[in-house]
Amino acid sequence: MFDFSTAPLPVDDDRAEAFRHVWHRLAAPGTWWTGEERVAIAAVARAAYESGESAERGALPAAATEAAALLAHQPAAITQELIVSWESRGLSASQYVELIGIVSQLTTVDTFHRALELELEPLPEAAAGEPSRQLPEAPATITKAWVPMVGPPTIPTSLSAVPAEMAALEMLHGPMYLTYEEMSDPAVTHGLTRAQTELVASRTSAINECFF
Amino acid sequence: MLSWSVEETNQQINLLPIADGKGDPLLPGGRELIGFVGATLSGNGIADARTAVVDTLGKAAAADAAAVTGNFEMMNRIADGVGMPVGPGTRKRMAGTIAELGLDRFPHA
Repeated sequence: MFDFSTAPLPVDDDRAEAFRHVWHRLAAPGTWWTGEERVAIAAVARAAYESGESAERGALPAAATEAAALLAHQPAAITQELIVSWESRGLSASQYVELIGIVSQLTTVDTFHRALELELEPLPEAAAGEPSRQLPEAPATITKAWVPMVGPPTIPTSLSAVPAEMAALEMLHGPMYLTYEEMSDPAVTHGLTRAQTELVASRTSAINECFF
Repeated sequence: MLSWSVEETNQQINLLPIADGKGDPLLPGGRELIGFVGATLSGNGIADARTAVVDTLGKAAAADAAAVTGNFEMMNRIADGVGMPVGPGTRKRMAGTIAELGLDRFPHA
């Protein structure tokens, strides 16, 4: 799994390991979704990323299928009204936050593969088991964002209503971009200088029409 | 973050290529990096764009560019998915950049 021996560019071990961790988590029962449902969400997202179509997946409620497809294909089109609509059709706020984690992490892994023109890693076989239903240590509330968070809305609290997804985001962030410690250094350099890194980040966000 | 890192390291930046994908951002390899991101997200001309980054900045830089693109595909989906608000302080601090790049046209601005 995630063998980069024929890749056209060197792939650091910490990136490959992060991808394996994402796949392991994807297959396992999550906080509010089973492993089967998590893999189904990823399948919808992967199909929609390129086609834009919201293919039905038997294991998922229709609202979850719609949310996964839109988040993968056209995230800037998501509105608070849509989220409320999905919730009224049975997609709870916590389930939606976990869905964001699944789709966004999948997109990171797949985009890296597309950039290197590698075959996308097959989605994993789902593992059996029940969701943990783990709640955050402090209550998550809706303030100025559209989903509940523990504390003020910032990227480090964005998925805090589902602690396991927050932890997964932090685990990917360092190998793919910068650690939180490195983010305070304007001159930090790996393969790219900090300014070059931010140029790539900014162009990605511009294409996605994301203000962030 | 881009403007801050450029200022702190005494470099120059032309922000317009970030918005339209054309022109020279004035950073070393900047034109090639802009091209690589665009090719990756459109699915068109990836090999040529990646080779251009390798030829200009090296393989490690190209690998980092692929990773950072992937990371911000994730961060953009999180920010848009949760409805991350743009606070008045950020808006004030970025006023020049918002105007120059026309960021107010974005749906979540």
